[in-house]
Amino acid sequence: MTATTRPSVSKSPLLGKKQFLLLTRGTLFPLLMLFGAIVIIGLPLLMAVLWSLVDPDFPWSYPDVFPTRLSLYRWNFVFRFTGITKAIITSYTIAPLATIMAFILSLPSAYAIANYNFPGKEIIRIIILLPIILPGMVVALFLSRVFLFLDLSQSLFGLVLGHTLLGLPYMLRLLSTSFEAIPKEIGDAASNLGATNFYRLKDVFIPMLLPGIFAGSIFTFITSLEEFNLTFVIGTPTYQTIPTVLFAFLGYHFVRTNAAVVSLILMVPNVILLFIADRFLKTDFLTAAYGKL
Amino acid sequence: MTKKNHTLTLLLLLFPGVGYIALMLAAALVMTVLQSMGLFNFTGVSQFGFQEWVEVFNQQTWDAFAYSTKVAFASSLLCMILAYPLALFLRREFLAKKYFNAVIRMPLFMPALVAAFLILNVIAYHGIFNEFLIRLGIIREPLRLTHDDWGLGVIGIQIWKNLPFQTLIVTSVLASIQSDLENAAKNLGAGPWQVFRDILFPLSIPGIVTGVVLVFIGIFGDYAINTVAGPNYPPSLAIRMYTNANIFNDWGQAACIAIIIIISSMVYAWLITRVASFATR
Repeated sequence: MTATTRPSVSKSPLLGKKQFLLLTRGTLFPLLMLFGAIVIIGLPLLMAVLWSLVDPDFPWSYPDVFPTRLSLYRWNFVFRFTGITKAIITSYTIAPLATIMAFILSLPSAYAIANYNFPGKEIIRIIILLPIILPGMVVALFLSRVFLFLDLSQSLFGLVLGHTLLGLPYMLRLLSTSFEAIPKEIGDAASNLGATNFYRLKDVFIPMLLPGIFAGSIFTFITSLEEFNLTFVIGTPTYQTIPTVLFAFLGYHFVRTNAAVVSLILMVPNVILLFIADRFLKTDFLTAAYGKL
Repeated sequence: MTKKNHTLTLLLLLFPGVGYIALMLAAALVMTVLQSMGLFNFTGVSQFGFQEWVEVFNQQTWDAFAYSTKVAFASSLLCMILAYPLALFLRREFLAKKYFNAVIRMPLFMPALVAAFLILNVIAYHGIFNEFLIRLGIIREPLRLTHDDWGLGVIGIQIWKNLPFQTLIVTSVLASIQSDLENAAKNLGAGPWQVFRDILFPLSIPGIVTGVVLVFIGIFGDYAINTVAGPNYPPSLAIRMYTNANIFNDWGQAACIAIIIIISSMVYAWLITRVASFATR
């Protein structure tokens, strides 16, 4: 593969040892790795899909490698007899609200972080990361005590406030990276040409920020959809979201087929959203969100 | 703009985003500390004292502490051991790299509970993993991998879930190392192994430690995955905290365990960093 091994190959007329090595390293090994990755990542996914399609009259049990018959019975069942519809509505109500709130709160702060130099900037960066670093259950439990005090426990507004807290790190980081990427001169040029603050924001900054806003929103949205600890402590039993329903099916009352259905409901939008984001954004925003942690 | 005005503007701008985080977390942490000192007791008498702290250090807490430590160390180290060669592999161009990259990233997009469920299916008593090993003749009886005393199921789930994240971190750390150094070493006749041992590995240590610490802290304070796949006893520290708070309504004890989780996370993070910097010296 590397430049140093290539010239020596031409010496042997037949398939020599070096050529054989080259073939294995260049083709066989990558293909084997790809196969391994597909098995390790894909097989669990395939099994979840199969489990969600098992027909209750033809159970999938020990000796069968695959279910004998597939049907949509479970999907029907879960939507009709469990609280999943309500949970989906709650989840998809909280997530956009939390995203909007995180965006509004982040905009001025991200601007300041990108454009001002001040002592203690490192501390600010650490504070921003704290909601991700601190153990989720600790934050959830004792925030729930604070919320109880403020009469926010078991309320939709309390949940939105909590989810906003957990989405803010992503939104702040991605927005401030976008702000940093904007050349300072552009803002000055706009003011020189007579643009007021409002037009500077609307016509200059916002269009240049769009990719960052998009990435930040997707991350906040997904964080909110996935959040379990906070919803579990502050929301249940009044509010169920998709993760808390899944937890119920995985915990006390382990129902594999129901859990498979709910897992797919929770997972598929995530994967699609991130896939779209990956296509839409030129820069590798995953590294921007996680890389510099 | 005067200097004072400037500071005021800055503070006003920082307040919505950063202030929100700071206020919320400060409120939660103050509440934790106060409750661990016997104050803000919602159900019983509130009285300042260290009674809660005397009570919290019992055998069950130690068991939970030891269990959480063991699982977090095993998962985060194994994860790094797998992620490093993977990241080295990803440095090269190879056949179908695009697809390989896309596939191994998938778990990054999956919620922890979904990851838990996916792996639970595979490692169940009559799951595909056990069946496979039996057909190969490696084992006679299926292995008990979920709710086992060692937390093997939890470790498996955590590795599966965190491997892409860890690989991403190592990849970006390796990419940030200047290629001049590597090229210079190669020109002077260093082989791939020597380049790795003397240049890539030592220079990548600080970045990698950050990755290990982040993954470690996440696993150390985990509640959901341990509930779903962990042993019946001992519980993880977070489970013990939750049980104390919401089942026994003993918030003082829960607050003490919360502080134990936070402080030991910090101590372990410090320890990992120390050991790493000592090893590369």
